[in-house]
Amino acid sequence: MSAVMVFTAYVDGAEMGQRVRARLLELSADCDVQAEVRIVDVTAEPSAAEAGNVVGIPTVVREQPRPRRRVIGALDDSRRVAQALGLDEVDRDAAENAGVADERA
Amino acid sequence: MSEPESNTSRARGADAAALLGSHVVGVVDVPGVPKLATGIPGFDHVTMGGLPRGRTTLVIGPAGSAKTVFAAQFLAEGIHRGQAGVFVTFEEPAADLRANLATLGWDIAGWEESDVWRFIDASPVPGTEQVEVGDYNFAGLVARIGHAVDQTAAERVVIDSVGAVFGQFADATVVRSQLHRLAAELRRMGLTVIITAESAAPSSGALSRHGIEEFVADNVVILRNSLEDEKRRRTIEVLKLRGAMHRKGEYPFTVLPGQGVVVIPLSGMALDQGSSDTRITSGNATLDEMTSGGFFRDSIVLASGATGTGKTLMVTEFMAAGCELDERCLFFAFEESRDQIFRNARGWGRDFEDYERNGRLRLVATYPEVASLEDHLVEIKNEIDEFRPQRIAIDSLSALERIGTVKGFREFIIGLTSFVKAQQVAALFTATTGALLGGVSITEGHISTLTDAIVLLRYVEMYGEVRRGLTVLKMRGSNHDRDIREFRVDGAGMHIGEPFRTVAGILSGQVFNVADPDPLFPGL
Repeated sequence: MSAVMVFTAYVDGAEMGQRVRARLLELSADCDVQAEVRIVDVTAEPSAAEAGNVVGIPTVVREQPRPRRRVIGALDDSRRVAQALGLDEVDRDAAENAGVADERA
Repeated sequence: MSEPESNTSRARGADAAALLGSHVVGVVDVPGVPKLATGIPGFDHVTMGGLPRGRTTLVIGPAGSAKTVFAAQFLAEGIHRGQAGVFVTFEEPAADLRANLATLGWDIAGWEESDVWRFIDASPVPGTEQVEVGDYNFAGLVARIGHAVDQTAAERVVIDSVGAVFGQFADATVVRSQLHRLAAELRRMGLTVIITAESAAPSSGALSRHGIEEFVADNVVILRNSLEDEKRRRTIEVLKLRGAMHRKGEYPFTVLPGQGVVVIPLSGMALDQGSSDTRITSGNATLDEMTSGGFFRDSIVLASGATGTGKTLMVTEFMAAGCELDERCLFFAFEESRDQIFRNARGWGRDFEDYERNGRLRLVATYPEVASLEDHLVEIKNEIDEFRPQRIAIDSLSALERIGTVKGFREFIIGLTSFVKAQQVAALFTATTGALLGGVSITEGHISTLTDAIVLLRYVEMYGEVRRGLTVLKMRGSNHDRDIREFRVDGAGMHIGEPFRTVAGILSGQVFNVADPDPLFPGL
């Protein structure tokens, strides 16, 4: 059973938005996470950048599950991104809670 | 005996409420990058008009140098001039800034409500962490600033501080290049910007800790807060303004509650004050005779002598005479309390209480140690601006000598006399000589060339008695008595009598008797 995570990605322009979305979805899939990605283009929605206290672009915030996690920069290094966003943590927690080795399809 | 110079009165265009140093020497219209008057008192004098408009200025200083106050004041003064501002804070949260800056008298919350002040709060939120996983730019920051500027039509922006930005982002190379881009973007938007930065350690050879001046600095201002002789001295220096002229060197400044930074410009004063022919009474009829009619309406007089020689009495008579003529008289006392001064005055037949009650006399008695020299200077200026006296007295300048460095005191005297001169009031300052018999005071050394008249008061040891003498040493623009005259003091004040004829060496303190007194001058 895959975990669901919700992300907001703050980007600068449609092209970066597409790239970041694609990358996030890819990284999530690798960790068996179902990702919902909301793209915020700071040049089009500066008030959203203000609300999110965003300085660096791109910034990706994991909104759910809590606690929030935040990374900044191009999502090049898969391992680091997965770790920083906690893409693998939910699986581990779920397995522990279940108390039983969970067979994943 | 020299002939009196003729004094011509010239029209003065300057506003009597002008700030210290508002007379500019030389060129009025300085070619180069147009400047935006900041409104920070004294600073626009140093920059000769303000900061380069539409450009970024780096303000560098150590911790505690008032960088943030200075930057916030740049915005506050802008708002007073109808220019909205945006304050980008990387260091302190907006809530803290609002509260701290309120003590300087700025209603920032009110301005935010009127949307003429916006905070962009990029300060670190405790407990949240951001991990850098790759390359990034500051487009988020640029978008937020641009948005705030659009909505408020802001013309002034502050970024506080560079060090805090480096503190939040691990990749220093990225930060430097992005700040460089940010400055370019702000310039494209036509904004006049101040960015604050920390000073580098003196040994490093760089100006700012992160070397930011190499990337962002067409214009650099340095704030210093140095310890000299156990005293703090705050100074501001405009190091460079690209494409524009400015005054060089350090200028002292102070930070006053309710006002903020006040820069004290000195000696950039033009000597263009008109001078008056009108005479006023010194408060003593004989002294008036000795000076051929009294002091000039706009002169600065120095009375110098050892403790107890009658300086305070001279000041008392000077003030009382003004009050009797319905003039406003402002008395700054740094050595005695109000009660002591009033009691002394009563003992000499002057009712200071009455003068104070009917608003003629204002006495400001302050212990010198309560503030720095710069603070005292600004307070004196404020009192003068508010009370608008015709006569001013300070008893004594020497009491202020001990709270500053030698350099600081000299600058204080220059600033004080420049300001007083611009007011065209009659001023009497006292100075205390260290030696009891003769000698010269340090204050005298600084001030004697700046005053129009000097009266010396001396003890004279004669025939086993200590008597007192007074002489008018100099009086610009007038004949004056050359004699050293003896004076007595009683319940009616000072009585100046005959010249000393049988002794010499009074001024040096080495008094000796001369042979037979000249029969033409019976004296004594």
